[in-house]
Amino acid sequence: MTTRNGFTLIEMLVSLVILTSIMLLSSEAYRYFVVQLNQRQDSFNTVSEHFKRLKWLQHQIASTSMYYVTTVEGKKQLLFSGSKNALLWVSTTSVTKPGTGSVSAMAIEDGHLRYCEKVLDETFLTKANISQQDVCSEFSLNIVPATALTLEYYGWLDLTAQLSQNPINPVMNAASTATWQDKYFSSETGTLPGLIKMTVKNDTSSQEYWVQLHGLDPAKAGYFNNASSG
Amino acid sequence: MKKHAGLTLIEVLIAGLLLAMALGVASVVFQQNDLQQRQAERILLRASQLDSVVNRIRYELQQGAVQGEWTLSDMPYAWQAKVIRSAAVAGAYDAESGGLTETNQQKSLYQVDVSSGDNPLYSFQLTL
Repeated sequence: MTTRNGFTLIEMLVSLVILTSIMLLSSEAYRYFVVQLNQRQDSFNTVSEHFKRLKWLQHQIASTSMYYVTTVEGKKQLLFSGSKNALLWVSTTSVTKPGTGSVSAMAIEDGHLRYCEKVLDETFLTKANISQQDVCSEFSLNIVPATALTLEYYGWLDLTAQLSQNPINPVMNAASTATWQDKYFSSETGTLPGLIKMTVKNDTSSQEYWVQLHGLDPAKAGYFNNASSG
Repeated sequence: MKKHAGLTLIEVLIAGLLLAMALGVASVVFQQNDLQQRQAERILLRASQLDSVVNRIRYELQQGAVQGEWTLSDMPYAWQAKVIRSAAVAGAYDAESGGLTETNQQKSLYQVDVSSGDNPLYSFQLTL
């Protein structure tokens, strides 16, 4: 009598079918998990990158400097041109070269909120005839995908109005003579706004940012003693 | 005589149990990871609003409000502030008295609490 220790054909076939099904199911499940994990990771990386860039932008606006240039008529004027949808200003900081100032600009371009800058290191800007295109030819960076940008400025209509209020805290106080405006040109007002409200819209959401200009607010500092997020 | 050298029921059950445990652990790890990523994203979105929240509260305090409720970038916020200390702003040096004259301007230190729904978010102080 012969003893067979091997598998029968039926056993082999059944085990193969089971093994194949398990492999098929597990690979599907694995793919599902991995794809989801990657999507989540990508989404987090995007949010994180947008966060970083928006911080840069807000810091650049907050560091606006009282920078004077000469007009073609030979007059001195502050360089700060804020329209409803675009802004050109001089900042004491820069994104590309830390420790230097820069002429900065922002507007919507090609479906993005775009930030541009021209570093003020060796050559200082002396003329008032600089445009958004001049600045963007040096360096530009897409901050976030956006379809519309709306800017509002809380500031004074002229220097006299600003000086007529509390000199201790000239940015804003209860008796502030500042008002909200949808454009702000320092060539007309002779001063800078105290606060800028920026609304950035894209297809799905609308984000609002309130930026206070550091240089004008002596009370501005980090006061957080119990900051947490949820 | 036929001899079946297959797996016993106990062996099959133990193998099944081990497999189920491994799958269970893997799915828990995956779910935790997913939850943490979502939470990190939420925290990051909140953090990106922080400066704007403080600047808006400062602005509203300047306008005379001591509390407010609004939505900023689709997120609800409620805040209230109370004065902790208030003092007159010192003026010029007065040679006669040898001290500083007082002005009629006040500086106040505020305690501000910000919440969203029932969740307390931030607690900080600022001077105006």
